[in-house]
Amino acid sequence: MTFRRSAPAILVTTVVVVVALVSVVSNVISHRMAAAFEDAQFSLMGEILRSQLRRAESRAIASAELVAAIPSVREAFAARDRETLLALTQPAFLIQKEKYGISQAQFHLAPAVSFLRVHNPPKFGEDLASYRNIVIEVNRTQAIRKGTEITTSGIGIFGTLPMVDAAGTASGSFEMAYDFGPQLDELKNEYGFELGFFVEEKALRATATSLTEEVYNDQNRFGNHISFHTTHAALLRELVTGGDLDIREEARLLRASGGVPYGVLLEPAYDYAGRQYGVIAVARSFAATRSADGQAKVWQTLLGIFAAVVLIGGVLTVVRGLLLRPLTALGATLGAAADAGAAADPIVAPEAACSEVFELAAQAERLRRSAAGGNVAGADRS
Amino acid sequence: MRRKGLRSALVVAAASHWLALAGLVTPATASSVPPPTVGVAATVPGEDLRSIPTGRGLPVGVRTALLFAAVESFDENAGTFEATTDLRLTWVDPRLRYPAEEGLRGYKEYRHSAAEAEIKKIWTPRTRIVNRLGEPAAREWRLRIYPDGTVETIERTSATYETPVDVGRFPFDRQPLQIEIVVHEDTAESVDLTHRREDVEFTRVARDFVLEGWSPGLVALRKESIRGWNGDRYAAAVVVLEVGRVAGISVATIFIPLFASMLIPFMAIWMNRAEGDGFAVEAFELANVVIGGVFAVIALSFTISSAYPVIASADNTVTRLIALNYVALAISLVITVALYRYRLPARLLGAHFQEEVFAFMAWAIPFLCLATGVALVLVSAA
Repeated sequence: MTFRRSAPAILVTTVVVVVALVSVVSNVISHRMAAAFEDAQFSLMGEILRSQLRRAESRAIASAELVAAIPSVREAFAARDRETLLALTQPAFLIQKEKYGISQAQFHLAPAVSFLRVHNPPKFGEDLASYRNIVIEVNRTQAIRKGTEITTSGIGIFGTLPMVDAAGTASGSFEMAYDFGPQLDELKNEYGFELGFFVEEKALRATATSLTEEVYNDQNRFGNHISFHTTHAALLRELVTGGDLDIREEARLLRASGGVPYGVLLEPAYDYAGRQYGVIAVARSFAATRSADGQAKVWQTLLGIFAAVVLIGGVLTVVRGLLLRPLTALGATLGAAADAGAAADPIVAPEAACSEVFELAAQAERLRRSAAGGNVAGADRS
Repeated sequence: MRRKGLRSALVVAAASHWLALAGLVTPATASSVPPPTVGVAATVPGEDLRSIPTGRGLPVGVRTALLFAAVESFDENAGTFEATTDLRLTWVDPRLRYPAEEGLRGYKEYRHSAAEAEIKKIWTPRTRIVNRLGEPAAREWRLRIYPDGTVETIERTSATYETPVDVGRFPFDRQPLQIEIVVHEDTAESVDLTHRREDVEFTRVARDFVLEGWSPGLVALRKESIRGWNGDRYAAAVVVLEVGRVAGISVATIFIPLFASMLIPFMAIWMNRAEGDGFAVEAFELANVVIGGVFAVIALSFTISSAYPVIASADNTVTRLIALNYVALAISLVITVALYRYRLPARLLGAHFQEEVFAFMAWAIPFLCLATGVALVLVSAA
């Protein structure tokens, strides 16, 4: 082992390890900060989505209550006068549909028999009990209910309330509903999110019998889900695959499209009965945070490299330039002095060496002189 | 019978009154029951069809969509692009409803001059493309009016547009080719620009899109608003086609010369050799190399600023690499003067120290400069 090699090697290794550790830790910290910000973004996206759906439910029930509270409507329904009921409610429904996106309005007889679809008057009389839990529940409990359900014509966000006649006797129920799509469009307009609503094909085919086969084309198929509505089909196609949609709880994905990173929140969609029937995807560009995170990594690594190189430079130049090289030179001088014996030149330290090397050279010179003096005395004695 | 009819009329009148009070309908519409498939038609004889349609209330929702049929050129230095686009605007004017049998293919269609003539007779949203430079080179119209009063105009134009260019991430940058549509004269309370799924699907780039040096991304349709006087807001829509630069092209023309020019200051270090407390090559000879390097970098930056003025005038990888070249030249000039000419380390701490400093600098400075250069490129890619 030579000090000249092993000492700088140990010092350099120590410097590299310490700087690398500091760089890695600072990288992890900045990455966690970015990840925490993205987590907050995911939570916000989910909250905004849920709040939009809750708002749609409230708007549906508010509209339904307004219509259901009109005495003539209650009277016509209690009298089972379908024609008058249609005449009374259809103008209001058409306006609500055209201006505010209400898509369905329906009166039911207990427990869940369609009495009048204001949005589709020719179709009535069938039993909805197999797929309209919300209607059964309202007629059973005589309490207002809100929720999402698959119907023959698609998927609606319903507000359903019990109807009573003038005497206060239960006469059935009434509901109004919003379509899902406009809710997602609204979120895109307001917040710039891109959204997709994916429904399990099996559930959709079983209930939404009025949907045309066009809905089930390959463009809309994502594994065993059908894209029921998207705000940007091409983008969602790149961000979400069929396999991603097989989830039972909220999932957060980081995906990229055209070099732009996106955060994709997958939120399971449940119907009123609590059965999961699909997934809502909310996507938002994470380019700003991802870019900042990547740049921080590069700069921190570069800073670590600079720190390591400068420290290594300090170690090498000081240890070699101020200690080892002068010591080597002094060693050579001492060797020459030993070879020359009494005729040796005085031992001096290399120029600009540190004081410790000078001290060492001075002591060596004392030794040389002492040795030279002893030889002289011995010669005298002999 | 007569009594029953009177009773029905009274019921309808009462319901109309309640609905009107509830704000669901206007008294005029509530007093008549339209057929199920027809909405609130309200054509008044003699009414000026060029006035804003208020039949569905205000604001009038004008759905916006735009197709990039072709992008002929993109001049990033001027911040302009030439494109042929199809702008589709869709709205409902209930005054234009007509019996479905009148439409040959389900709608009435007018093209070119016939469309222009027809458009003059009806209300159309007053939109303006605010970033269009001058008048379009070519313009064609198509107008469709559907039985339910839905009006659809498609305007094909070939024109030049201004667009913001940000080369901060050159050569990994993506540039927006954007078209800004703004409603003027009518505030957002009167006319609003919206979009639905079908508009987003229409808003895309043509399949045979080719723009040399750039690869097309997705097209985004964004709703915005413009501030006016006294708190007024005007509806706006921005359509953005993102194009990504093909980075490989710039490697040969810009990045190889920039990294090669960095070798010049390194030559001033590598070409010398420490000998005792001096150096083998005279300082003035290596100073000439450095000065030559300064002129080389000046020439290179002049070439880049002539060919790519937008890159030279902003903070980006290229300008940072040019700055790094100057820094490397400055460092080698300092080494030439401080080490080769005045031998400051030797004077201060001895020849051994100077030799070690020189040996360290011979690898550390090129290594740090190259690491910084690579980091600058990686930062732009992050």
